[in-house]
Parts: sequence; C-alpha cells; structure tokens
Amino acid sequence: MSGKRPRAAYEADGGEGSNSNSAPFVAFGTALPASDSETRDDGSYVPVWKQEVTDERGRKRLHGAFTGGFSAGYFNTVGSKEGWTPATFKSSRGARAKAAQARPEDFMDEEDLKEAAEAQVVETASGFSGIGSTEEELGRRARQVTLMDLLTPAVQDTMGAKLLKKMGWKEGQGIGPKVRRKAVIDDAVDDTGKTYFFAPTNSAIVTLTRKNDSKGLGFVGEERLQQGKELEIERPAVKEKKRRGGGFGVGVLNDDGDEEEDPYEIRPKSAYNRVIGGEKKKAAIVKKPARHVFVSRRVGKSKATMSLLKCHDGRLPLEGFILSTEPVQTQDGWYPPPTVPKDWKPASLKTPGPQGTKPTAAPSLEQKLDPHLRGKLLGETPLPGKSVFDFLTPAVRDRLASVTGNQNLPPALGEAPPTTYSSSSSSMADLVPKLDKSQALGALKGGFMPYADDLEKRSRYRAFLEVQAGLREGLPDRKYGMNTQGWVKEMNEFMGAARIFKPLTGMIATRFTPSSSSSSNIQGDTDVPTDPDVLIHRPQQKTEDPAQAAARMSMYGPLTRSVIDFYPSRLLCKRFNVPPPNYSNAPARAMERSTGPENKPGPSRELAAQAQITNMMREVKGDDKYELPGVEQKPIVPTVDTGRNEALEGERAGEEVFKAIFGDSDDDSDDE
Amino acid sequence: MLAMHCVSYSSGIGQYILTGGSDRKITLTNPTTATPLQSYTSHGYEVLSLSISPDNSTFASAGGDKLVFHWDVATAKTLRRFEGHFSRINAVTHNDDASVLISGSYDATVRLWDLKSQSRKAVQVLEDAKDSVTSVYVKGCEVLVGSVDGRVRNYDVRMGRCFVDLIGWPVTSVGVTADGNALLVGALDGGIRLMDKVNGGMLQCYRGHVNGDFRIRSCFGEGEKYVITGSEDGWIWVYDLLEGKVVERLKGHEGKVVTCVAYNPGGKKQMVSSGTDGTVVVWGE
Repeated sequence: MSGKRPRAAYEADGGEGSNSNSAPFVAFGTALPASDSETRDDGSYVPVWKQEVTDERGRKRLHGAFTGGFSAGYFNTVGSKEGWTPATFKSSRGARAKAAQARPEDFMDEEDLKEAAEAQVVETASGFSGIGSTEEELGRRARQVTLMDLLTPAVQDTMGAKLLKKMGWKEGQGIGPKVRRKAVIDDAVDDTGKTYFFAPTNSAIVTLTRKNDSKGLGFVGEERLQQGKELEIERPAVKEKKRRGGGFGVGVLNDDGDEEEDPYEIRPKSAYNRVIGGEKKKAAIVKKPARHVFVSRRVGKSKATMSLLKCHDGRLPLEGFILSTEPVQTQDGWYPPPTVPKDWKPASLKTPGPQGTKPTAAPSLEQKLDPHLRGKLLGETPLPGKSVFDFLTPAVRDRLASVTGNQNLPPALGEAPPTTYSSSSSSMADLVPKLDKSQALGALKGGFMPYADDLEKRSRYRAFLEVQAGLREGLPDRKYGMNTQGWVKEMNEFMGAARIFKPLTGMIATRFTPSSSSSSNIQGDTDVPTDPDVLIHRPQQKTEDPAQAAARMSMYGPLTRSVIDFYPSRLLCKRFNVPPPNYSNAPARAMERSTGPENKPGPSRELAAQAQITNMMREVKGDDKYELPGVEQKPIVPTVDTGRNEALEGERAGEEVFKAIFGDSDDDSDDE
Repeated sequence: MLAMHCVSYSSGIGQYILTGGSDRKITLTNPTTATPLQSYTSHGYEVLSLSISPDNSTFASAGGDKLVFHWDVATAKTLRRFEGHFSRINAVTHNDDASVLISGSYDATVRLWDLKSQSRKAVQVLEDAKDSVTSVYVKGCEVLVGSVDGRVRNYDVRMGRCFVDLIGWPVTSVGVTADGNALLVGALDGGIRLMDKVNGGMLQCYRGHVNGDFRIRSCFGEGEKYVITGSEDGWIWVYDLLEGKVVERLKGHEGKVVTCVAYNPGGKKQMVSSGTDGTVVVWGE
C-alpha cells in the first residue's frame, strides 16, 4: 500500500467536492480520514450504541430482533457477559480424560446451528440405495457414455445389485425365474417354433411417492379435474375394485362410480342425506357378511369347482384347502379345535413289533413292580441303604400318600430306628450340661421362673430342669429349627439361670411373700404339668384383715377400732379453743407414729435377727463355723441422764484441744 | 333437670334453707313460702356441700371446682376462696365458732382452713384416709371424717388422738348426736349405723332404704327421736332411733335418688330433702 499515490487518486482527493476535508497534501499511502465526528474510520473506536451491524449482503441487521433478541453472542462478540465459560475438566483413574476434539459446532451459535440443521439432508448411503435409484446411476443413464467413463472408476454397485449378481442376474435383465418363450428379435417373434429360456423382461421401477399429507389414500383432488378422463383410464382395475365398498376419506370429487358421473351434478333431493349419521344404516347393510355370491348350481355341486373360488385377494386358496362359504363361529376369539375324523390314523405312529415276544399282562405287571422287585428280577444285590419308608409306620405312610396323592409309595415297614440313632442320642445326651439334681429340683420348686417374656423358652427351661432333676426321661426340649450348637448354648444358659434362681433358702425365704401372679396359669397352658404339687403355684389365699372380718359380721367394737396418734397443729388447737395435747408439735415423735394395731412395735426392730444372718452367711459360704465379724460387740446404747448435762458439767477438755480447734489467728491464718 | 346435691337449714331456728346442686348455683330460700331470696353464683362446677356459720352471716360451699368458697350471705359475694385440694371437694363444714373451715375431698385429704387469719394455707391437712373423703362433721373439738375406705376417723383435737372405726363399707354420711356420744354413720351397704363413740361398738342399725351407689346424707329428726334418710328409689325413710324400726316412708322426688335430707334445727316440725330430679321438697309444717 505504501507507495506513491497515483496522480488520479491524488487529484480526485485533492480536487473539489466530496472529500474536501481530507488532507490534500498526502503523496504516499492512503490519506487518513478527517478527524471530525461526521466521517468514520473503520479502525476507529465506535461505542456500542453507535455500532451498526450489517449482514453479508450489507443489509442492516436487527441483531436477531425477530428471532428473539441477540443471537450473535454478547454485543457482537462470541462468549457471554461473563466471558468464556471454561469447559469442565473431569478425569479419574477409571475414566481418563481425553483431549476433546473441537468440532465446528463448538464455535457455532444458535443461528449457525439452525442453519446447519436446515442444510442437513438425511438420505440413504449410496451403497444401500435401491437399484437404479441412486443419483449417480440416474445421471449416468441420462448422459452419454463417454470414453472418460472407462478411465474413471466404475460406480459402486449397491448391495442389492451385488447380491443379484451373485445369483446370476445381469444388468438389463428383469428379476425372477427364467421364462420359456419364443425368441423375439427386433420386435418380430421368431416363428421357428423353438422356445428358449429367457430372462424376464425388465420392468420399470415403481416410483413410490411418499405420502406426507393427511388426505385419503388415492386422493388426487383438483388434478383429476384438470387432467380429465385420462387419469381415470390410467387407474388400475384393482384400485377401482378396492374403492367400491365405500372408502375411507372419499371426497365428493373422487367419489367412485361410473365414469360418466359428474361430481357437480345436481341430483334429486332424495339422493342427499339430510340427517347427520343417516348413513349408518347403509353402512350396516354394507357390512353384512352374507354377501350374495352367485354360484351356479352345477358349479356348487362339484367340489373341484368350489375350490376354484378365489380368496379376497384374488388368489386361489392354498393347495388342499377349500374356501369356506359360511363364516367360522369363534368362541371368545378362539377357534374351535379341528374335529378329528374317526378313521384318522397318525401316519408317524409305528405299529409295535412282533407281538408274540411279550406277554400281554406285562404292562400291568411292570406298573406293580417296585424297585426292589425289579432289582430282584434282574438279579441285582440290593443296596445297603434304606428308604425313609422303611422306618415309617403304615399309618404315616397312608397319610403321606393321601397328602401327596401318590398312591404307589413304597410300603411302610415300621422298622425300629437303627442302633446308630440311639448311639447318636447318647452322644447328644453328652452334650447336655450336667446340673446338680438338688439344684434342679430347687430351681423347679423355687418359684421364680425366668424368661417371663418368652413363654416357650420358659417351658424349655422347665423341661431342662425336669430332665436334670430326673423327673423326665430323654433329652431336654429343643427349639424347632435350632441347631445343636444353639441348643447347647441355650442349655448352658439355663444351667446358669438355675444356679441363679435357686430357691431362697433358709430365713430369706420367709421374708418374701410369693406373688400370686397368674404366671402359673400361663405355664399350665404352655407345657404339660407333670406334677401339680411341684410345678404349679397355688395362689396363696389372702388372709383377711380380722377387723374387716369383724366389720362384715357387724361385730363392731374393739376389733374394728384402732387408735392412731394425731398431732393437731398449735394453731388448730387454738382455733378449737383447746390446749394443745401434751405432745403436740413434737416432730421427732411424729416420725414414728404407728398406724393401727397391725403395726405394733415388735420386740426387735432389726430386719433380720443376728442368728438368722449368721445362718444365711453360713449357707452362702458353705462353712458351718462361720461367724459374723464384729457383730458380737453390742451396739452402744446411749444412756441419757436427764439430771446432768454432759456438755456443761463434763470435764473440760485440755487447753491444746481448744488451741487446735480455734487456733491462733496470728500464727496460721490458713487454718481459720 | 339438674340434680340438687345438698340442702341445709340456716343456723338458729332454721328460718331459711340453702340449696346447691349441679346448676352451679346456691339458692337461699324461705322454705315455708318457697320464695327464693338470694342466689349465689360463683361456682364453675356443681355444688356438692354447704355449711352455714352459727351466726348466719357467712356460709361455705364447695364442689367440683376444688375450691372452698366462703360467702357473705348479705352481699352474695365470696369473702375467701381456699385453694389447695387436688380434686373435687365432697364435704365442707364449720367448727362450732366458725373459726375453722374443714373440707374433705376426693383427693383423700381433709384440710382445715383458718377463717380468722388471712393465711392462704391450710392450718392442717389430715391425710390418713386411704380413699375419697365423703363427709366431715365437727362436734366440739372432734372432727369426724367418713371415707370411701370404709372407715370413720374421729380426730380428737384435745386428746391428740384419732379413733379409727372400721365400718367395712364406704361411708357416705357422718353425724353426731347432740350429747356427742354416738355417731350416725351411713354406709353403702344400705345401712345406717349408730355407733358408740367411746368403744366403737354398734348401738343400732337402720336398714330398709336403698343405698348402694350414691352418697345420701342422713340426719336426726325431731330432737333425735328419729333417724331420717333418703333412698335411691326416691323414698324418704324415717326410723325410730332407739328401736331401729321404720316409722314412716315418704314418697317424693319422682323415684330419683334423694341426695340429702335436713331437719329443722329450730324445733319446727319441718324437714327438707333434695333429689337428683332437681327439686327440693319441704316436708312438714
């Protein structure tokens, strides 16, 4: 660009008129535009609001105003207000990130994408398109074959063409089996009488037009009127036949019928429907299946001609079938099964071989044979194993048979269980932990039964104790479905429980009243009571209060009367105008007021006597010579001498005691 | 109709009666003319018991609202309301000089309230009863408490002792003779017993009326010549005190429970009875 300006340019600029304000003295390069605001330099800064966008044709663009606002990015830029949004990068050990290949779509905005989508045309790949339908083929057919075609690579055959060629088809031939006919040479039939096999004549490709409107099938519309009768003539016969029933979407213009019928003919009023839905009746009549088909008597008689009746598609019925004249009655959509002729014999059924070799009674005998008998007949030595049925009693076997419905079960022999079972039982007995008999009995009689929340477990516990106490033979109960390990574990648990819940012995027992709960009744339901005296607690009859009994018998008096202390407050006494009782407001004594005769202060207020405690301790320790430590010394009962105040008249403590207590504040202030 | 629970003669000659019931009102009525004179409405629940002070200037009432109301008769306003019971109050009474108010409640306590001081707290609470307290009675320095636990407790303030007499059936009514030597105890076995206060023995038993479910207050009549009680079948039975025989049977209250009977204290041959039919019947002159 930087060169000497041509004179013409120089003069044009510098001359009159249009560009007068540009610098006239520029000899080299392009002159800068004027620095005033009227003119514009493309490289100069223009604010956004002054910018004007034109499309490639130079027309003013409205920035996508008609397509919903700005579409050319953000103010004529790519990106957004925030700038470029970075793509999220994700990579893990399992799924490594791959370097993403940038596609053109990544740089396209909505408008571009829309344009691209419009430009896209979906079509079949050339290799799979129909024969003769590819553009290349059609184009080749249209133009003259030149010498260049030999040089250019041949058009690729489609898959169909390849397959046909493999089957022996050659281009230019028709498709189908070869036809034997006379040779035709130059449109003249060869009259030699010889016939040859010829490939079928090539037929034109049926062009199938896509139907993408919602008009009825075969609807032509106004074209028919324009083209006149030629179209009608061209219409194939089959099509016409189809339409005869009254069609689907048949309009007034192509209402079928005679060719002479004018669609715009004004007919008598009776020909028109005046009621909507009036055609219904007509349709019903049309639908009627019993269409009258004329069959001449002669033809109807002969089966052969009957079979000549054609199916609805105009073809003969399949070989061996005849067309039914009456409709088949179906039940719930199911066709009835075919009736088998009496004299029908399946062709494949093979007749049994020589009859004489087998006795006639054999099949029944065979059914009766059980595996044992069969083995015996065959001379086999019976296997050492035994069936379950050998151990079942006949009653059980019958029940099994009735349940299963299988009547030919092996006979029940009711054998005694083999010795191995008893030995296993003894081994099971070894698993049962041993509990002391007296302990078990004690736990049984003791009254307290654990596992109140699980009555089944309680009954098992009871059974365990009974076995241990020798009240019952056999093994302790085992929970259904519990394995041996769990069983043994549970029995160990029971043993621990029996040790813990042994009856209260000795003196402690007398100190507790057994509760008269209904637990014994519940136990009676769950397990079989073996010995009611031992196992079931009789609820102890509640001893009736003698006072209550006396009251019931109206023996009121000293029995029903009791006296309790009452401590009226001083104020109450004042309000009642009585002097307070001589022990009124004695809080110490108020603590020990007795309530009735049943709670008289006994001779001893200790919870348990000395000897009883000693006995209990001996039982626990198992040592008969155990003595309670330290209880021998008598508790010091303080004797109060009311005549003498110990605090005042007692010996005065030594001086150092006072010193130790009160100390000297000067010496150690910490001790204060 | 709302049941009437209690009826009481005024002190002295018994010129007026006070009645209280489920209508939450207390009515002062002249029994001879049957004219209502005043009604006292502050209760929020049914009124179960009434007690008139000896000088007739105040009275106390109690009921379902767990409060003891101390009323001024003339102004028909409550002077005090004593709060402390945890349940409905079945019985309320004054002591002889109206210095102490005694209330027995369903919470099985008896509370003694001081009317002379402004204290809000009970002077004393008697908590010996094991069940609901149905009746209280004061005679001299003795407080009698009848309870559903089947016992009558006689608190002797002077002696500082409490004599517990077992009756055997829930006690619904307690009274004392004028000389203070015998207790009249009504129980839910359908019998009224005259009990010797000294040794707790039974002097007489009056049977015939029906009383199995409800509290029926019995009383002495005509200077302790008779024992009068209501019945659950609407009759009023009058027994001879000494003989224990039925003297009279009076029909009233339409077969409904007769809840309370009161005999005129002034020597007038008149008595009133209240029933669950909502009426108060005046018998006699």
